[in-house]
Amino acid sequence: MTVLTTLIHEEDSQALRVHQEFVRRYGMDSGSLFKVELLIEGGLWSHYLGGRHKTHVKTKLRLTDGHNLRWASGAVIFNRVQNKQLAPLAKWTTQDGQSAAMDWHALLLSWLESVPCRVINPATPYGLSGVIYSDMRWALLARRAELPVRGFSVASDAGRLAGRCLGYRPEGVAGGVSLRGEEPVGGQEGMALGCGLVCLEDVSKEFVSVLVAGLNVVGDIPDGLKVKCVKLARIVNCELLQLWFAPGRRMVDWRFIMATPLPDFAGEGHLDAVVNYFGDQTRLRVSDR
Amino acid sequence: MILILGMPDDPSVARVLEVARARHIECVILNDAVPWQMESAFEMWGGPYKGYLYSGDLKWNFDDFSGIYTISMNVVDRSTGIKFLERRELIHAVMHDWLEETPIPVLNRGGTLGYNWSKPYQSQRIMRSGFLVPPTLISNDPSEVLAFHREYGRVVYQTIGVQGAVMREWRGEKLQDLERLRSWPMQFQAWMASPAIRVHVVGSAVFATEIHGDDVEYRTSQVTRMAPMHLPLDVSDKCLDLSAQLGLPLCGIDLKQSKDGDYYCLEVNPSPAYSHFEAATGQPIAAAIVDYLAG
Repeated sequence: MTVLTTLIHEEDSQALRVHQEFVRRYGMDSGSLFKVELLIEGGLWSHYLGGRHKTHVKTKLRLTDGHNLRWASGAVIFNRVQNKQLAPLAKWTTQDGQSAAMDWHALLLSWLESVPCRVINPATPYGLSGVIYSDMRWALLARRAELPVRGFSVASDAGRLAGRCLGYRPEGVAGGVSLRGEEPVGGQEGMALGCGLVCLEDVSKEFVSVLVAGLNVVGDIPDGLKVKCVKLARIVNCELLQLWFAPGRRMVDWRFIMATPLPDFAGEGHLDAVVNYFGDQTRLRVSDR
Repeated sequence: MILILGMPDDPSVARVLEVARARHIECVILNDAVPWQMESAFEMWGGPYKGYLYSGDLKWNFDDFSGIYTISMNVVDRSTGIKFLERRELIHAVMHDWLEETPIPVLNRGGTLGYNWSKPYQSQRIMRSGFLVPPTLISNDPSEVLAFHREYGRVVYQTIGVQGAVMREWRGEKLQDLERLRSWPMQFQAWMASPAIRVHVVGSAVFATEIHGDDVEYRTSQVTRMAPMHLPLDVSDKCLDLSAQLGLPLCGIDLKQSKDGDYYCLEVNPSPAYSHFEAATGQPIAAAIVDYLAG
């Protein structure tokens, strides 16, 4: 009885650990593993929708071994599919490969939206297993969740901020403003007028990692912050969310730094928490083994 | 005061500027083509966030604007030089994230454009709003495509992703091409022969245009006639529901009416080039945009 299907990319060792621990705890038949690359390389897809039936969506997905992929309504998909270049498309020319990747992304998104069971985390156009936001957007969302957020200023011209605080280059602006403060600006070049600049509140560099799994929050942070972590996870519609904080002496001194819908499960107790969570969601007990 | 993120020579922007000017409504343009003319700053230190735009000696607080019209936020012209390119990308990144949070009316927020990045995903959203969608197959299985073609006779195809390729009729004459589908799924859709209907929604205003052309894709065909039309009230309401559900207060909805009178929705364009339709029909679409943004 497979109740948890883990959809992963080939190199996702973190999610693989979750699958392995899940089947170790609940039995070999309780979980299955599918690599996205295999679904693309060897899968025959037919995704039907529309017509006279207003909610009609049907997908036939047959693998090379003849196995048809389908789920019962009570099953759960642990979704780790990402918007990334897929290995089976690497042999194509760059332009074709990019176009094909966009179309596969479009199909995977529609398919994950249509499956008759729960998908954790749900697919979105901006991240196939939860939205990948910029650091600045996470900061704004965390503020909405009433979390204390690391102070920041960002300006398109360093002259607006020069001398006010320690400055950083706004790395990776095409993907949004980074607030991680990894490369402090030094010398005249970085502070040149006309260049962008980010200023960040000075906080501890030893970040604390927190995992939200449904209503459970695992991590060594003040209790008063835990409920706000759950609130943030709800705002972004992710049952699984990893957050990082810069610790402080008092609760008001803690600062939210960033979050991701693709947890690494590396923190203490995180693996146990996520496996328990999937056990609860699939209504399995250890005695079901 | 309206903020426009786009280029003043874009016909859609030009029409909004023209209407706003006639009504003495001030507009500020964050012009992609001249990024060195603008600066922005944004900060959040414990309290509420603050954002500013600068141009020379002028300074605006983000909250000074009554509404924001965004168009062509992603134009990349590297001839402006890397420094200005970085500046523009940084301004865009800041504006993009702020627009998602601000309660100020925006046409449209960048976070809603993603519905258009997958045609079948968008179709599922369309179906939830109560519209019918033509029978559609996305497949990399040649035998399924052939069966679909046999069932519906006349079939059009297009890619399904963000690049938005135009629709073409598939006549089944290149069967060997279907083998290429195995690595590259394509969308096949039953063709409806009736005239296309483009509906522009702006807030609570609905403008419908009937389009007579000579091809399967009116955007690339010789359009012979465009005329304003009245939609039945329930169809008009469905368009408003769809616009609200997708978070797109400005959108272009493509409909067709079947022989038995049902309305089918083909797709929703989140960044419609409405000015072409306005010029052909006289519908006051730019005025509705200004009304929406002027508060």
